[in-house]
Amino acid sequence: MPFLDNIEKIRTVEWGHTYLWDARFLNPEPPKPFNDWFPAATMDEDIFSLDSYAFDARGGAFSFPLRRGSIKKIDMTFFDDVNNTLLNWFETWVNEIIFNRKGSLVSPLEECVRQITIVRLDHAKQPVGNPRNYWVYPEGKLTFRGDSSSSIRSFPISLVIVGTIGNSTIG
Amino acid sequence: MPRITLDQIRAMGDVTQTFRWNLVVVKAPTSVPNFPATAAADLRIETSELPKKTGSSVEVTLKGHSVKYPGIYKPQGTLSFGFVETVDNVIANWFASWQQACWANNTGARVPKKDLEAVFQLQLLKNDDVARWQYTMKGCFIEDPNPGQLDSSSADPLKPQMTISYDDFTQGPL
Repeated sequence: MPFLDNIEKIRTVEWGHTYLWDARFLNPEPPKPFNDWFPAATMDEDIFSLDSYAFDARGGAFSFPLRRGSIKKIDMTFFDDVNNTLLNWFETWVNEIIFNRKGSLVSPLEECVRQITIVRLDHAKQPVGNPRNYWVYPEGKLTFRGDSSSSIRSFPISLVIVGTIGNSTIG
Repeated sequence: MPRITLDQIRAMGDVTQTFRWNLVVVKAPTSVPNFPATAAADLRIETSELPKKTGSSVEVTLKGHSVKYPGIYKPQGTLSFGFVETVDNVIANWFASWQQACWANNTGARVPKKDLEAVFQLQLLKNDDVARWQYTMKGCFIEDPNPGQLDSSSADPLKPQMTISYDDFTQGPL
């Protein structure tokens, strides 16, 4: 007999949807109007990263867990308002806080990071489980791109997770 | 074989007529106020499509020979109802309440699927109005409400339409 033997098994599950999530920055939060919510349109949050050690031995190939994999990241695309509130906030974060001495030196990690909180939601828009809190800093480039269309301004950005706040360990 | 005769056609029996049918609300959602009972819904429904499953086929071709096998049969998944609205807002309240359960104004929240889905049955009738065949759709929710068309030159009744989504259906004689 198949395991999934009738449609009712599927119908009785409340499946998760990709739009049921939310995020905000804390410590410090961005300026208003994005101080208590963040206009992220897409979010890719690494949950775990694990490397394997693979080897060939007599009789076949084998693999076993070796160590934590690459550094976990949060990749997101966010929108910004006409006042460039978030563009300016990220610019200040990197150019004045991380590069605190006019670009010649980098601040200690403790001063470079900010907290991001990500929650998964149910269909009633209520949080499911505990929020996930990370210490992050932006990596790579943030680029303003102008063109000749009427599209909303969107910015892709990659955030490196350097720590997890709560019951998880350093990422 | 000779062509069929007039007497053969006359002996075939009564044909099914498209106006002899009922809409039955078998199960109303528990979290949708203003959901009409069978009497109110059936009184106002004017047109309906019938559910169907569309199949696909799998073809195996070997050295010039092709053989086809039945593939996946999937319900069409949507069905359109047409109504005549009355001044007591039965249809408007129905549409608004059901849509609110699926996507609340302002917040976008919805109630659990099991609490917002309905079961409808379309009954086809004999010429003496005795039910003879049924289609029963489960997992129904409002997908595309169309409140109707206004104009300035007719006294026609307002005719809202609603496309419902369903998960599956059964059919058989009654």
